[in-house]
Amino acid sequence: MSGEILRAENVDVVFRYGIMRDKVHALRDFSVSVAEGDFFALLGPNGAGKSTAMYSFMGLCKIESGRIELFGKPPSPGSAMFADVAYLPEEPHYHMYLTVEEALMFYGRLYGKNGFGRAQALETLDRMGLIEFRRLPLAKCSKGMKQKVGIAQCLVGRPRLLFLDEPTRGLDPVIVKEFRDILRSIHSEGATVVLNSHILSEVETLANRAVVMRKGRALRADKMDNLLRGEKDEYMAMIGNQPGPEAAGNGALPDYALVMESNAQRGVTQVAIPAERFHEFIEFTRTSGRKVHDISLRKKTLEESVFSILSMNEESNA
Amino acid sequence: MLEQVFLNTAVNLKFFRRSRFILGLSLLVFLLMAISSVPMFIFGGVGGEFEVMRQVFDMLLDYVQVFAAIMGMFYIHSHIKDRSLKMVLTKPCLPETWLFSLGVSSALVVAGFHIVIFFAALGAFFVVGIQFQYGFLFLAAANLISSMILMFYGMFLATIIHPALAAVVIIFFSEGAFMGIFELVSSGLLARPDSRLLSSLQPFFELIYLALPMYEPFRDRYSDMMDSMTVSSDQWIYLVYSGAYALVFGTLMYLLSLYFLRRKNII
Repeated sequence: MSGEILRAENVDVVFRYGIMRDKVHALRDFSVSVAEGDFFALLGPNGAGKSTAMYSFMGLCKIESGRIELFGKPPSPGSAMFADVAYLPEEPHYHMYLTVEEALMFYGRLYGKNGFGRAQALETLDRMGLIEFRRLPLAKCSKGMKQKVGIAQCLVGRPRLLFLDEPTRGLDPVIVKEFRDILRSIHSEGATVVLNSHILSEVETLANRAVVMRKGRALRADKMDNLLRGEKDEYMAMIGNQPGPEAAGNGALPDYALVMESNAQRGVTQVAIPAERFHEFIEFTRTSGRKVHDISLRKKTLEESVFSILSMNEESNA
Repeated sequence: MLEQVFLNTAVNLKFFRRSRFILGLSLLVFLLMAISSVPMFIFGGVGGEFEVMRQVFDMLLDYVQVFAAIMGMFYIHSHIKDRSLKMVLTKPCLPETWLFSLGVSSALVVAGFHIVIFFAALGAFFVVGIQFQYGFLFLAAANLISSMILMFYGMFLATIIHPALAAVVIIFFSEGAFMGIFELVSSGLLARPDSRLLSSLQPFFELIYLALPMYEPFRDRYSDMMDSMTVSSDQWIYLVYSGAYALVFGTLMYLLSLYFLRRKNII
C-alpha cells in the first residue's frame, strides 16, 4: 500500500425533490479514505448511500459540505484525472442507440490512450463472450449483456482506479467467476478498486477494507480482517453424546461447553468452546472417552459482522 | 480535444439517424408539407409555377426551423434523462467538449437539411425552366441562421427545464410577442400619460423584449425581397450581421448551458 488515492472528509450530500424542494440527506458527515492498491467495499442496506458516495467520489453529484479528494484534487467530471478511472454504473445507463462494438469503441476512445483500437475492442468483447453480439444495439441486449458491456468498457481504459457499482448483478455464474478473476488480476497489478455490492460473500473474498454504511453515515470503516474478527473466537466441536466406558467421573459436559445442537438419532452433539479453553476441552474428550467427530475454529462471516454493526447502531439510536 | 469532438459528433449523428423520435418527427414534417403543398400544385399559385415554388420553399424552411428547435431540446434532454451523460463525464472528456460536439452535430444536421432544400429548389428551377433567383439562396441562408438560433436557445432551455416547458417558452415568450405588448403599452401610455400602471409596465416589457433572443434578426431589413425573391446588393450584408448575432447568441447559450450543466447532479 502506498499513498492515499481517495479521501472524503465530513461529506454531506442533500438531494432536493419536488416543487417544495423537500430535502433528503443522502450522505451525512461521511468520511472514508482509500489507499492506492486497496480493494475497498461500500456495504450497507438499500438507501444507505453507497451509490451516492460513489457519485460524490467522482464529482457527479454536488456535495453540500465537506471535502473530497481524488488523486489529491477535488473531483471534476470529465477532467484529465479520469484518464485513470473506470466506472461501472449500477443501472445500464449507456448510449443505447449504439451497437455493442460501437459503444465499446466510443468509451474506449474517449480515454484517448495510445494503442486502443478495434483489435483491442474485439479482443475485450471476445473475453467477455460478446463477440457474436457485437452488432446488436445495446437497447436490444439483455441485462446481463449490458452488464458485460459495462465491465468491458471498464477494462479497455487500463485504469488505476475502478468504481464498480453492483458489478456482478445479472451475470451468469461463469461470467461472475471470470469477472472476479479479472478483478483479482487487475488488483494484483496495482489497481485500486472501490466496490459497492450486496453480495457479502463476494466482498469477503475480494476486499481488504470496507465501510459499513447506514442512512448516509459511515458506521465503521476498517480492514476486512478486523471486521471478520469476532469479539471472542470460539471452536465448534461435534462430539459423541455418550461418554465412553473408560470415562473418568460421570463424563458430563463442562460448564464452558455451550450445547448448540444435539442429535439423539445420530448420537452427536455440537458444542461451542471458547478458544482459551480449547486444550482443556481436548483433555476432557480424552478423559471422558467422548468421540470427536469434527472440530474447527469458527470464523465470523462478513454478513454476521455487518448485521452486528447495523444492529448495534440501531440499538444505540433507540 | 479535437479527436473527442469528432468522436462525440460521430456518436451524436448516429443518435439523430437512429432516434425513432427524430425519425417520426421528420416523417410528420414531410407529411404536413406534402399535404399542405398539394393544393398549391393543383390550383397553382397566384404567380404560377414560380409562386408555387416560392411558397413550398418557404414552408419547408419554416418546418426545418421548428425541427431544429425540437432537435436541440430533444438531444440534450434525452442524454440527461437516460443518464448516459455520466458515461462520458467519467472518462477524460469535459462537459465543454460534449456540449460543443452536440452543437456541432446539431448544426451539421440543420445545415444538411437546408442544403438539401436549397438544391432541391435549384433542381426544380432547372426542371421547370425558369430563371433562378438569388433570393432563394439568401432565404435559405437566413433561415439556417434562424434555425441555429432556435436550436441553441432550445438546447439551453432543455438544460434547465423540461422540453415541453421549453417549447412553451420559445413559442409564447418570443421577442415579437413582447414587442407587441411593449407597443400596446406605449400607445396606451400616449392616450393616458398619467397612468402609473402603464408607465411602470412599459420599461418592464421593454426589458424583457430586449433580453429575449431575436429568432430572425434583421428580418425587417430584407422582408421586401420575400415576394420577388430578388436581393439587392446592400441586403447581403444583413446575412453577415445575422450570422454574427447567431454566433454571439450561440456562444452565450453555450456558456449558460455549460454553467447549468455543471451545477446538475449527473447521476
